[in-house]
Amino acid sequence: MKNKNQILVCIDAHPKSNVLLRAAANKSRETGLPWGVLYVETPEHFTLERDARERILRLLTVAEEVGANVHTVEHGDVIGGIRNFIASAHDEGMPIQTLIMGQSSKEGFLNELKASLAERVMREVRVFSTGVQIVPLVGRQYTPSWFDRLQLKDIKLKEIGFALVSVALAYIASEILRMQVSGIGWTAQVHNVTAFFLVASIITSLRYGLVSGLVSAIAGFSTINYFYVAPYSGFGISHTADAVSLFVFLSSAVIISVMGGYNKAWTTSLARKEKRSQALYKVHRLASEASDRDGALAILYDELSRLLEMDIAFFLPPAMNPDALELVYPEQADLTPEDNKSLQLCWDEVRTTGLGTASRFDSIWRFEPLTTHNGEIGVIAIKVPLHIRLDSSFGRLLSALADQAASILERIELTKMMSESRMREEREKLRAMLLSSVSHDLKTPLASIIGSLSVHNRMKKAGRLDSETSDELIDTALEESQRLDSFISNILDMTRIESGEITFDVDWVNPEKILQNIKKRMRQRLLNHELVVNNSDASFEVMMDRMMTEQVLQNVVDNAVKYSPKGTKIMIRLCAENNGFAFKVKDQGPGIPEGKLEAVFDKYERLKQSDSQVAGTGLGLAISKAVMEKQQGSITVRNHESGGAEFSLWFPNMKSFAHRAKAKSPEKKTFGEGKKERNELA
Amino acid sequence: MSLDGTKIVAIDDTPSIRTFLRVSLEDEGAEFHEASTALEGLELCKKVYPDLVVLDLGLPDIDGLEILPEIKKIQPDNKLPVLVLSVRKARETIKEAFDKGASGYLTKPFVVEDLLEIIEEKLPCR
Repeated sequence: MKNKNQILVCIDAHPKSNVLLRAAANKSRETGLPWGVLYVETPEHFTLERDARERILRLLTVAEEVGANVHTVEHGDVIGGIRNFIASAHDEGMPIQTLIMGQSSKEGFLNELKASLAERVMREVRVFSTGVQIVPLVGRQYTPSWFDRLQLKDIKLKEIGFALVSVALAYIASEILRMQVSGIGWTAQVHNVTAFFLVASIITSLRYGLVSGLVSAIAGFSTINYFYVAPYSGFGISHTADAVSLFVFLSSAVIISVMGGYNKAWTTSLARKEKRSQALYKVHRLASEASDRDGALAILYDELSRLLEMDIAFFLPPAMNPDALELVYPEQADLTPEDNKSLQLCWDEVRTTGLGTASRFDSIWRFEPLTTHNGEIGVIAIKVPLHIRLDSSFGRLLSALADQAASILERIELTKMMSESRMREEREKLRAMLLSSVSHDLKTPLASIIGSLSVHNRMKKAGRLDSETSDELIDTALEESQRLDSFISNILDMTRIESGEITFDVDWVNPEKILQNIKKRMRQRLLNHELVVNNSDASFEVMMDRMMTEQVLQNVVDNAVKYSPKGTKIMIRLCAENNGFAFKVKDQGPGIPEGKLEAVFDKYERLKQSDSQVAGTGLGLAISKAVMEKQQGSITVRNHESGGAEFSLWFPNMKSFAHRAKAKSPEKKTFGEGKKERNELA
Repeated sequence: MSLDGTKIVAIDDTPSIRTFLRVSLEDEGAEFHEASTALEGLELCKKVYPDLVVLDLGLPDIDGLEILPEIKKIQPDNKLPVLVLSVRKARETIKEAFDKGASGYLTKPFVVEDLLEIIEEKLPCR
């Protein structure tokens, strides 16, 4: 692999660090090499004042905007961080050709003696044949003042309390020791009590950081001075040995406190980062489950504000005006006019604005554009409270969050659009299929009728029509007319049932009467099939709409005729079933494929097949289902063990009588008995 | 008009359509053969080697438009005349039928005279 050199600029919180970025950008232009910006986040970062941390954030943002690769690494010290970074870049085949670093003017005697950071780095990175270009920076290298380091703003009473309690415990331990040891022995032991107080200091500073550590150091110092150093019960030091001892204690306690402070800041930052990455994962998982935009926004809002411990707000364009921006979640956000300017700028120029960016109108809000591959979809605003300690990766965290939120929102939007357009397509397809099916089903019987009659006419005129041919042609025309009639009735019925126009007129009906009517009505249709009626031992009266039930039964029988070979039997059984009554219609056809048993009642099912199915009453079964449901009954189908399909029309309310003992002494009454006998079902 | 000895295969899944086709064409003297599916029709054509085929499009197994080129192939140089009889009247469908070699296209419903007229037109000189 060909090595690809790059230029790296190392920045810190120096007020003039932007000079470094410019130098690096120029160098990159001259050499045509890509450039990157490195910030090493040491524990000291967390002791920087807010302004300095914001400056770093801003520099990194600017660098990213002008095309640099931005890297932040965490390391115990700056030199180690730089060395590790350069080493890994070297290993990855993208060695750093030039490292640009700033060097502030040296002030003071001590600083004159000390090798500058840049010089030390130069020695470290020589092995990687990286050239170091040093850019002099006017003004003092920023170092946090002692006051800043103390971070007095962040002190909690509990931490001070812990410091004082630990010193009190050390005092008690010392007093117990004093009681155990004789007077002369005690004098010799006095210097050892400092050890107790030192332990208290160490524990406090490790646990609560710098300030508590210093408090415990001072409290310990005072306690030792007051109780254990002559003059006793008073401040002041009489012996040199005591002075040395106290000085050793104080300096150890302070050093430990400072180190504890670093340690505390470091572990806090690690814990926070760990928490963040877990929370990010959780946010992603939860928001991905949301099915609509508002749900996703609510989840994102809850999770992100909990994760960041900051107020956030989502601004998205309203549906009607894609160029404008409005607050969509939560309902309110306290933006000042200045904030609104930043928000608008963010939206208009698709870049991060507000806090921690170059273009800030003195805002405590930060605005991140929500962008996806398809462009900008909105803005997320984050209110960064003043006490928050910004770490250098904060900006990138927010960008990452914004990206994640954007992609989730976009996914939801796309899913919605897709399902809408799919539904539209599906509807359109069904409409087209319905049209083509209806026209096929109407035109085919018509074609037969017109064809047959025209042949009849022609042959008759030519004097060649014998009576047998005439019958055949007329029968064909008649049969097809009936089919056409039943198809048209079906379409009209379906429409009327669906629109609720048909009212049902239910009454006690003898189902055998229905069968007789069917036989009469379908005589023509049943020329090639034998209809076998299998009466049960009892006779029945069933609550049903006579006309509509006849229609259903006719549809089912018609279906059986259509799908079973000529000369086969169609068997109808009347029986009591499940506390109700059922017609069972069985044919000797091929049956119905298992997966289609439900689908045969779907009015669209037949439409989905080609228009070549046995023409005629394609909607018959769908209508039958609607009719049966309107009568509180049901229609089902199964494949019979002996072959063929068996349809079952079930009615809930019936009376049954001993065979041939109609209307006398009912043997069994179902729950339908005693109900109002005429019942209007809409 | 006489179709004496003309072998005609009708492929249509509707029995009543086949019935009146049979009655009228036999009355004109044609030798009539019928099939209710595309594949059955193709086999029949290979067997009887017809002078003319009347073909429905909405067939239960294969769409008429797909089987049409196969039927055409039965005579050398794709010369077998095929008349399409269908309820489909979309311009694109008709164009596709002609592109695939249909000799004529009659939309259903039609009177028998229309059919006989178009048969006379499309049948090669005998």
